[in-house]
Amino acid sequence: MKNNQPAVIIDKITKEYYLEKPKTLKTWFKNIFSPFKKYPVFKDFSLKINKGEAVIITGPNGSGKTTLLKLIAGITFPDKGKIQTFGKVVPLIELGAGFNYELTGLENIWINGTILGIEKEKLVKLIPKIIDFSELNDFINIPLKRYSTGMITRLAFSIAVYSEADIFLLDEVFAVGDEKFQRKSINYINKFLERKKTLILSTNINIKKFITYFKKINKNIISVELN
Amino acid sequence: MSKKLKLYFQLLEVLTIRELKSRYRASILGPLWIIIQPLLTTLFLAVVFEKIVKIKINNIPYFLFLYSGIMVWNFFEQSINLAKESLVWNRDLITKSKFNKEVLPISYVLSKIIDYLVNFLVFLILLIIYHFKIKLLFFITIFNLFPLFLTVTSVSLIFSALNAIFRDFGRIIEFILLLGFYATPIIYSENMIPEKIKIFIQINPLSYIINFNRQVFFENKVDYYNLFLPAIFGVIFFIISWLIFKKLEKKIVDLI
Repeated sequence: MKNNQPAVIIDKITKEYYLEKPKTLKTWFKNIFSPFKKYPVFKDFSLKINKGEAVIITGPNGSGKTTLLKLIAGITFPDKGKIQTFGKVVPLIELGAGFNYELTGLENIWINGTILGIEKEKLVKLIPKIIDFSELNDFINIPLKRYSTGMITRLAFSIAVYSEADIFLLDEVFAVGDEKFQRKSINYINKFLERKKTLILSTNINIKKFITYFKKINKNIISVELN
Repeated sequence: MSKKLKLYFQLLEVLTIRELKSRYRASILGPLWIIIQPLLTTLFLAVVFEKIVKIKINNIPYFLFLYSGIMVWNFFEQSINLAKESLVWNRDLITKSKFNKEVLPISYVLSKIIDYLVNFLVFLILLIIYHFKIKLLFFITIFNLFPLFLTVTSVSLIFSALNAIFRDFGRIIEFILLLGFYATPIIYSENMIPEKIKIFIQINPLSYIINFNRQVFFENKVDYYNLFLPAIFGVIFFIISWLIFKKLEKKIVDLI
């Protein structure tokens, strides 16, 4: 690898999760100094990801794939250690998280786009492109509750595509929609990687399929296995 | 304005609009509820406390007296009832995307300002119906929105964070609000309170806000003390609750 500019540096992080809240007053008092039971997900975990790399994170359920992405995104924080990111991080932990189903597709683009950090002036210009990419032209003024699941994921993915991410985090949401839309998404991701952007993808299925997709155009594929 | 600050206000704006749209779109009577609800509340309370308990307020129609208090209280109570659930309702958003979480409770409070302004206009109409002269001076009470907003937001920030971590807290808030209603001069006036317990009224910022409004409307008198004291209190309270919220914010993601 010639390019060694870092995109993400994870330095010896430890992350413990709360399993459950104490149910009775007695356990509350017993654990008054550390009131919640904890379960370690990461212990002294380090990882460096460079710009232009596609990282595929694999591992069984509960191994911390989603947690790792949430840590990189800054949604949750490590108990110990440090995480540094360079550039704009856009997480797609779940497609359509935070969508409001009473509101229309267009209204949801405004909310979601703002959360992904797109400024008003830019968003106004991007909205036609987002709608085009999602192929939802006929449905954009209809409440989301009337959408099919596929339509919702297409909308969410399209907004993320135009969020100008430097580091894109995908949590098992790589190929969405029908075959045509999948091909479009893959094309987009390939172009994204060509521009020296970083992709971090977590999955526990179809790894071989993903790797062949990327290998065609990009050789910087790194596989990280959690256990 | 820096890009970050701009996006912050943009987020507040879209979330407030989201709340307003989704609140009224699904109901048939829609925004009419803003007007109906306080009128009915005032009517019921007026029947109980004027006709049965026989409270008398000198020279002021009791219905108007009551409404001027209900107007402020409703903004307080309804904002808090929405804001306390704001983090819980938006759990998906909190656990899956990155943003400043305080915009959630604040956006719900902002959405209720519209209701307050509508109720203010309704109050002016009520004054006309009761043959009061509308004076330009009445609009000075709009300035009261500043301490009122700060007080409501401060309480909302703390309650929403605590409710996200301990769901039982939502139940406790119901009692606090019930207590607050009777500890605020809404159905009675401040001078009806025995000296001994007056302190409870004096530590309540809502008392000052309601008193200020009533003096303006019914005595055409402006008491700046009642305007600035809650404003100063509001600023301090807001800073403290903001800091508490920011302290809890990082934990909320894992505990909600």
